[in-house]
Amino acid sequence: MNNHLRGLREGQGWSQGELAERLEVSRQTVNALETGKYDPSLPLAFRIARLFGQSIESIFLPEN
Amino acid sequence: MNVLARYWNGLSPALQRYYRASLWPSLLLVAMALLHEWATRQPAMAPAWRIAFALGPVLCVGWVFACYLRFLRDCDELERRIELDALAWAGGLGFLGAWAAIFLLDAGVAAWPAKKLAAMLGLLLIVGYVLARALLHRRYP
Repeated sequence: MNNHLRGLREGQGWSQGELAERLEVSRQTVNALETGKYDPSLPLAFRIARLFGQSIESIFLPEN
Repeated sequence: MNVLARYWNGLSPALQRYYRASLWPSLLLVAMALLHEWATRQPAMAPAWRIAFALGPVLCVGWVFACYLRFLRDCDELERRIELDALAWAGGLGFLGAWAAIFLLDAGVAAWPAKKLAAMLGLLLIVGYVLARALLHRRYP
């Protein structure tokens, strides 16, 4: 799955570590999400969407 | 020292908590294992004490295992996925090793003592877990 997470994070001026703290996950998880190596669970996707004030489908896009 | 501090700071909070929690049971495990070694060299010791000294280290391993289970509940979803994948790999390798040993022993082409075989299977589990975990962490830097 593709996502706009890196752009959203950089738009806020946050480091991966800062975003990880806000989401209560490890920096490793944020990096894996941004590079598309890992798809978040539904609860984490909701936390991300809520943090950036957007809907899940506007942040995460199916690959095709 | 600097390298150690950098390594420690690079760990996730859940892993730091796990290492802190498992420090005492690990130290106790070493102490109990040494006591067990000493007990095996006391031929006049009563069997009840012998059993107690033999099972003491096992209780410590159980304590470490309880810390690990707490860590699994504590860590975030990617970390848990890495841990569960590593455990699955280790379990699979251990299972394969056990079956290979059973069939080789049964075929009469190997004659390993039970103590050595149990130690080898334990080592296979640990090495499998460590290698799988290291590879998975490389995949998710």
